[in-house]
Amino acid sequence: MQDKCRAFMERLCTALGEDLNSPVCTELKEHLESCPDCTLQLDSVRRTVEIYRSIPCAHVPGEMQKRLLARLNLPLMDLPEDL
Amino acid sequence: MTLQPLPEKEMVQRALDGDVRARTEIVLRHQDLVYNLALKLTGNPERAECVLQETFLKVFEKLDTFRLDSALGTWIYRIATNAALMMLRQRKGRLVPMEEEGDDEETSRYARMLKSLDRDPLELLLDTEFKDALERAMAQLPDSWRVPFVLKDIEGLSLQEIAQTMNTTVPAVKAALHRGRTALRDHLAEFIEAREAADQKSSQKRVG
Repeated sequence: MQDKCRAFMERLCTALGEDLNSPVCTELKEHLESCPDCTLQLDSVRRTVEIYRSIPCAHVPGEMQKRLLARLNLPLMDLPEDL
Repeated sequence: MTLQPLPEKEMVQRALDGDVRARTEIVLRHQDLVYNLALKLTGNPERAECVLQETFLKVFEKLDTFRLDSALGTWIYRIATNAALMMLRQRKGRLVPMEEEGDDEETSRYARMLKSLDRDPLELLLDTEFKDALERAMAQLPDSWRVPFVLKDIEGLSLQEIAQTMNTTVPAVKAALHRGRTALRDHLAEFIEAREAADQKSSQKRVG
């Protein structure tokens, strides 16, 4: 990585905590267009976040639900399925 | 006759009056929301179960302070976030520095990673080994990096809200968020690299 890229990455590190459309990020994007190394850094992080966002919802397993209701002194009962 | 779900206000009012069915309904309606959040924040099913139980104990203990004109799910979500953070604080989150890679090696590794991930996210997540690697990577993150990542990138909270919840500053959240994101990216790149190397080895064996 070249020196100019290293300095850029330092700013990018801070900016990545912001929305990607923030003014700082927009300025950084202009640099990205001309720097393949930085593009790779940003794209790989962005792709990682996308993948984590798409992990489907987990459901409480049946046994865990039984333990939860027992801890709350609530009975197991038939309730509407579309809760 | 099938029971109909109770309207939210009525459900809360009945739960306050000690109605067991209403209390159970509150639990069943919100348990997945709480469990998912707890699982992501703690990175561990056993700890997530503790958070799940603590959250609903607190919900019923404090239900008389809930304002009926606000959303019950949002209120429970906040209690669950605090319960998870409390648990993480008590067990004092690890801070494991990531290993630094050489620049060139790092760059080509990310290029290979992106090439390998050039598939639909849903298709990727049907790959159990891949999904396990994602979960393992998240569980291995230090708590102080995982919490901002989950709250911002998955749950969509603002930096301000996260700073308030974690009792820290916005710049500190930003720095932790960046570290969490890049650490997950690096774990992912490492997993992909190892898997490709294993695939290559087994295909060489077949040829030989």
